[in-house]
Amino acid sequence: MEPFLLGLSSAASCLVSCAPFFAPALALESGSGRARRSALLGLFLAGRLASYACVGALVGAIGAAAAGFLPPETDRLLLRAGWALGGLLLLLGGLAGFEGHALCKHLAAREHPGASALGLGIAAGLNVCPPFLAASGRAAALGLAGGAAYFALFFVGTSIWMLPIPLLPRLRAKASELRSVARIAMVLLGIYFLVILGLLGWS
Amino acid sequence: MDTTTDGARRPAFAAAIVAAGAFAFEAWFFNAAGRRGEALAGGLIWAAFCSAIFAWIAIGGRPDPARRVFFFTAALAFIPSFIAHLVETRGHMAVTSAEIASGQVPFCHIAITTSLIPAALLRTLDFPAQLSGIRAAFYPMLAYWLLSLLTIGRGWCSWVCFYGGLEDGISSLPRRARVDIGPSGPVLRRWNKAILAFVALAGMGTLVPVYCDWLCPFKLVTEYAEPTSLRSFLALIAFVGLFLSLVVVLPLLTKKRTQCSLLCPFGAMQSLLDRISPFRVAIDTGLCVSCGACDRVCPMLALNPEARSKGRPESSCVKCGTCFGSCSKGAIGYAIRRQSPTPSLPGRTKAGGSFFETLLSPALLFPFTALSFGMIISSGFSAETMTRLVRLVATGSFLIGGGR
Repeated sequence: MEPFLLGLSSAASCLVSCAPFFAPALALESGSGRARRSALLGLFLAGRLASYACVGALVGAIGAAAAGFLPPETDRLLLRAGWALGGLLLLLGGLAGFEGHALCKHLAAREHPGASALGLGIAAGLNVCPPFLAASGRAAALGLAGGAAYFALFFVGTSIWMLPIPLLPRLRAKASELRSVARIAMVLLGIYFLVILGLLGWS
Repeated sequence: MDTTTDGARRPAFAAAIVAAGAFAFEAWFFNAAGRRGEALAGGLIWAAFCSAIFAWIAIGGRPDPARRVFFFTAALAFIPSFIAHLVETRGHMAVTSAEIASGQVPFCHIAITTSLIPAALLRTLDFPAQLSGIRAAFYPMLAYWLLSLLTIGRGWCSWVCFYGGLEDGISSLPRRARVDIGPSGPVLRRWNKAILAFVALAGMGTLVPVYCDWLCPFKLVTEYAEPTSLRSFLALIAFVGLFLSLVVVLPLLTKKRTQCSLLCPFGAMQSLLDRISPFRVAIDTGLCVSCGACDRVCPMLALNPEARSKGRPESSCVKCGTCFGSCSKGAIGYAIRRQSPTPSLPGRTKAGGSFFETLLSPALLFPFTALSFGMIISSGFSAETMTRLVRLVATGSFLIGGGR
């Protein structure tokens, strides 16, 4: 119950810190039906769960024997890896929407929203925030399986506020404009996350 | 003078007198409490200036060029006041890491775009400013912004924003545009919405004011992070490049407010929320002859054939009223909600209505409300700049106490 409540208490924080990863992708689907948007959110959450479980297992496995929680440089590495992966996926997804250039056409032909949502979920799961650190501190004493289970329950609590997102009304009239705005925003977010935060580490 | 014009001018004179009283009260209220007598004197002079501007608008029957004179003057008053204040308190314009860490940076309205959601959901401010206690803190600015949103909406961008005033003035300097970007308007307009999405989302993910860190052209005339690293040096290059290109060169070439139209996230947010405001610019489609003159003069790319056929400009309209004067038929004017516009030519102002109907018509009510907001924001720094100018003449120094 404790990891679930810890997640629940920080659900707003998780919604805010994960928004850059899922909001543009969902905006692209603003004209689609609820089923499709739910499926994409489900894949995003699955990616996030995978990241959380892996981090939990890792923390549990090494933490019990060593420092008790993730050392700062590991946090930083995870964070930068998350930004770089998320930035790359956002950049590729954004560029796929622009016509005219051969690279954009190539990306558009290979665009797979489901895989992208899963990848963005994995990246968002590596976004080390204060509740994440609190959970890793607790998971460190639980061993590999215990750590993974702790983070999985923590994930359930943090995801509560994200579940109603596909229920937002469908925006048919403005869908085209919203898609074009979302694509430009994805390119800008992609460059910022990949280059500034991920590769250069200027957070 | 025909009776129609005469009938319309009596309420205009009355409105100008009422406005002068209101502006004098605002100057006293916002400059008198706990401040020097010279601040009150400066505030009252600024109130007299604003009263003259409103009289010019009311009697002339259209906002421009009076609005532009006010707006540009306020922007020009802001910059020396702000910079002189920084030099006096810090010794330089650059903000140091220690000052950022202690949250001593004045809160800027553009930062609302990145701060709003983290502040509401996490009770965390991603901008190194104070929450309350001074006028340039988060809560006072938030309250002022909400109040203006409920009344003038995106009119903020052409009556209140001291940054926009600078660009508005610069874009009006050339006689004609050398580069026409009108037809690309609809595509270009999406950029500032994308910038808004980018800075809001990146701010949520990182709790960093990304726009202020990397994109704000006005850092060059206010304050910027001390260039002590490659990162801050690159940011400074970005500020210089954006200021020169979007605030100086492109407005001079195109006569458009390119920064406000394409980059400013605050403007994009105001466009999205403008429906809350009761005031809007409307086009009387019965009077409009589709000559396209208004499209060419609109500094915000808000007018095009499609918008005219709908009887309203695009959401990027900042309610500046520049287009009113270009319309030979007087088909464009301010309106409340879905009413027809109040015609904007002096000889065609509604003389059929009663004195009070004309007095309270959107053609007078909107400029009065917008100018009141502009006056409240600008009275402090404008009064201070006047005081400093007097000091400059008397003592040869623009700084109070000589700075550090």
